[in-house]
Amino acid sequence: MKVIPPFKLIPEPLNDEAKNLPPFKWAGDEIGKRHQLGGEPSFIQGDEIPVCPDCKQKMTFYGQLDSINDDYIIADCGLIYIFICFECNEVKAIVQSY
Amino acid sequence: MSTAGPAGGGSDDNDSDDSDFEGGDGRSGGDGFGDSLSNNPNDIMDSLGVDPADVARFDCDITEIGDTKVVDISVELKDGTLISDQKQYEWSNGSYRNNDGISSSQTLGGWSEVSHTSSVASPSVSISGSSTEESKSLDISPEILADIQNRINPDDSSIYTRSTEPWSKDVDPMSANLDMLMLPGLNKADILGNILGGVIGKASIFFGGIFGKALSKGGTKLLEAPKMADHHIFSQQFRNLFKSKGINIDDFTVSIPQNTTHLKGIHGKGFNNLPGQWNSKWSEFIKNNPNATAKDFYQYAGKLMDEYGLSDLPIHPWGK
Repeated sequence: MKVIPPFKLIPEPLNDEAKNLPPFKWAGDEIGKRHQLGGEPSFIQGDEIPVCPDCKQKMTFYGQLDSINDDYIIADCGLIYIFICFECNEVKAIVQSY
Repeated sequence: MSTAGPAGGGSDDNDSDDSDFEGGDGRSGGDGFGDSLSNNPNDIMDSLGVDPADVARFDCDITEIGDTKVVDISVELKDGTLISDQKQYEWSNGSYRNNDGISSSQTLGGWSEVSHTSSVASPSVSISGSSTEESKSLDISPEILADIQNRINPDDSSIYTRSTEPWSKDVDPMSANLDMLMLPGLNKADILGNILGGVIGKASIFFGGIFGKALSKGGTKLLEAPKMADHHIFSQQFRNLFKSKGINIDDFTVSIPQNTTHLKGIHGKGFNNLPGQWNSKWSEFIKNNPNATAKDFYQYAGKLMDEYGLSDLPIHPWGK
């Protein structure tokens, strides 16, 4: 299983609507800033690395996307985790939340 | 109260030999893959010599390796008596042997019981027994098949099974208490094929308890028990507000199944008797009670737990 070097992803607004989105009002400071490419997933509810439906090997963690704000929240400050099998080009996304 | 006495009487060697083959052709009588796995809950308890009113907990687990299936039943009585009943079966490729050892063919195929081990442990009595080379076929009655078909979700081919989990305590677990197990990689035909192959434990379906695993006939598709998640009673979204009132939200979580109960029943659009939208309810309460005190928050948390049927679950710190 390949491991991608870790990158922190920092969202850059592409229009005024995105630029003017209010941040979380009461959530912890890290919420909304956990976007990441590669590295290791920061699982909220524990390890859940899927296996490729084709080759049955563990899939590579490609990245994770955070909740955005109180209007665009994944469950309760959850994250989307994306996995890929570079051999079979299969992808899988899962959600974990508090 | 009947404890070790009748349980031992229903699960030792000799008694099992008699009742396992009731009906001769292996497709009647128990109507399942063993006298202890009848489709009638009372029959199951009766086969174990147990009064259902005395049962505190019932678990059934089915595992399959290749052409071998192991069915484990565990019963805990209210007085602490533990009853274990394990049967091992092998797939018999569409034929089975009756109690006279005569081979027959049947449409659904069958599982031959190759071993049976039972034990009863109580403070005063311990009984165990085992047998081998018994023969038993799996059969699914029309009523059971219809019941299972009704549980298949046409949208995602998932299948519903009953649950006795405490957050759905208000619903009779024997009639309507549902939880959902996803069946990744299976379509409806697969599921029905599995059912016809006798791979979904009828005891699980009718007793619910814990639907540990459902297995395909070929043993290649395995369903694990639901992954659990720690749910924050006080939502993470409002962490700093609760913190300002002296509430550490990480001190108050409950463990629930992640995909169905947590993501759909608690946080999603709802599932079964769970209304969903947990955070929205907190948000509304906070909006309508701008001067809420810590006591108000605790009281509302208790109300939410009641509403979602979580009140009987142990509260524990996050991740512990």
